[in-house]
Amino acid sequence: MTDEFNPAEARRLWRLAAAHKPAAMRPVSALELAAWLDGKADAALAARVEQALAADDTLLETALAARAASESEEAAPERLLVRARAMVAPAVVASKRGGLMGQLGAWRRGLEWAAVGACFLIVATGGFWMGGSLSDNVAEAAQPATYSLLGIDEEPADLFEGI
Amino acid sequence: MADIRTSVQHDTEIDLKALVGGDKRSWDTFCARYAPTIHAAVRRAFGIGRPSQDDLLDAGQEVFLKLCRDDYKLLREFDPKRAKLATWIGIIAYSTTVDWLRRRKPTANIDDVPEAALAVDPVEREKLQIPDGLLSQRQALVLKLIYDREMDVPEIAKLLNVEQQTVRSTHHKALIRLREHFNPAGG
Repeated sequence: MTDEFNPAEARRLWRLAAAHKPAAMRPVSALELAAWLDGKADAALAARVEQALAADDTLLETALAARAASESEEAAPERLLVRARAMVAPAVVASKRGGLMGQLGAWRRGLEWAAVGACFLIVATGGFWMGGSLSDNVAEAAQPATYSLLGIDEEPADLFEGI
Repeated sequence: MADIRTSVQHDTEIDLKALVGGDKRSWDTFCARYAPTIHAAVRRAFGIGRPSQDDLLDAGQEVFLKLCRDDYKLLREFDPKRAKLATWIGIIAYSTTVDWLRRRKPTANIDDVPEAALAVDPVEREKLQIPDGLLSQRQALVLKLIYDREMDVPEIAKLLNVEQQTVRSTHHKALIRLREHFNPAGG
């Protein structure tokens, strides 16, 4: 028997072999397939990917398409780029920008509430202090007049001590 | 319609960390760098037909959406140590478009389909007992690429990252093993 094969015999042999489906295989992930395409798969992964490619036409077509696409020099429509860029809104990014303003931006809501709280505290404290002072002043102003009506200079407690 | 030439440097570094962190500039650079790859994969997924520009745009948009959906969940799974981003993007773009085309494929009302069209042909499968180890995974793949895909040896060598002579040798050894298995008497 010669080692030469005519195309018809070779094709017939492949047809016979191709009818055999191997047992269930672990699915191949996109990253594993990419690693194999880039020649970065180890021996075990390469064997698994090649087994899957031989058995799964869709996976094989995916691999061939990815290889062709990654090397493509074909232009992309400008409208596709416009749509893609619009998916990430600048407003979302604004709060993540760097620098002092960016950091302040992230704390802005907290700072606003802190400022409101501080103002409230100042007003309340000031009001309380002013209210207390006025009462003292009124008391101080009223006290000498009362004592003078009684015709004494001492405090009332001393006045009624002997009764 | 104006086209973007793929003048963007192929070695343009994309700061993936900044991109998935929401950096607008990184996203814009990513879009410019990989729009041609995505567009090429999308076009291929449509097959030999002539899809409309709107369909190509919609499918391409679906790919970009998938990449940034759920706070860039898919892009976060990519590991630059294991593969090139362009290769991975091509796989994602092609498979996403295939799924997208499958979803939008119009389905016929079963009542409108003639009964004959719904009949299922009896499947006649040849019962073959081929040991799992008869061909190596690579041998089986090489035979498939040659006989099912009708690819030539240089194309296969490029796909497998091997020399052309290696492909020829793998092909020959595979045929010898098949012949020994199916024609043990040499017939």
